[in-house]
Amino acid sequence: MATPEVLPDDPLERAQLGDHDAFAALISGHQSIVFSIAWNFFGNRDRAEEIAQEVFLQLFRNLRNIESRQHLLFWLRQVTTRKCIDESRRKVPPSIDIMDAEIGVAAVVPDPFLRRRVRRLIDDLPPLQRLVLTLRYQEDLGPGDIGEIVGMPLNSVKSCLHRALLSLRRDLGETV
Amino acid sequence: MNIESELKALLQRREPPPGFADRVLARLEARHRRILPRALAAAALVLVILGGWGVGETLHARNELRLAMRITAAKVAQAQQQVRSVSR
Repeated sequence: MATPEVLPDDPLERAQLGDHDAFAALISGHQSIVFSIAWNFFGNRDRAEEIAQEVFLQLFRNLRNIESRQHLLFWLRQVTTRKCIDESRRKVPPSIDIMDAEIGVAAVVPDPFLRRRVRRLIDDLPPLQRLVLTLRYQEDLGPGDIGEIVGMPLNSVKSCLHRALLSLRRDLGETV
Repeated sequence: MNIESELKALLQRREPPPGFADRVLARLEARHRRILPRALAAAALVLVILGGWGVGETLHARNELRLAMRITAAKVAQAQQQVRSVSR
């Protein structure tokens, strides 16, 4: 008598065995991380969606190389940041979509003028500073983890973060 | 104003527009649909090339065998001639 096939509980393992529903579950479980890194980098929803889709298509092709959930998280953050940097080098700088800037943050940053001002200042930062800020404040990562993802030494990450904050404080100090 | 708390609020995670996972899966499916005919065509091409190579190899082997037989026949004839001349 044939033994019934037992599928693993972990969606990652099931997806690696070719289960498309499990892959869909992986997407749903991680889409906000990937989409938000791209969104916070570009400030544009359509571009963020395009990048996020490409990241998950790439994940599908590389599923066999993912060793654990932690590795998956690291891989998604790293591939998304690399795609953002590559994309920013390839195309013209995006126009900031003010409507996009207001999605989801109205409840926590009540002053719309300040919200737009900060968003514009973030978009004016050099790409690497923007990326480091995003990983620091969106993903709540420390400089060590950011360095591993972006491929930068610890001190360079700290200095990049410091310069970004200094620049924002200086520019906001004039108006707030 | 605390810039760090402003940044945490502004750069928080947010969900993509609804149906995101479905759109990714649809792109995957579309890619597979495009890749399958190409893969079949490539496999057919490989078979044709390998088949051609096989035929070529057979012809080459046949010619080598013919040459070897000719050389052997010539050597045998030469040996026979030498035997005849010695026996005379």
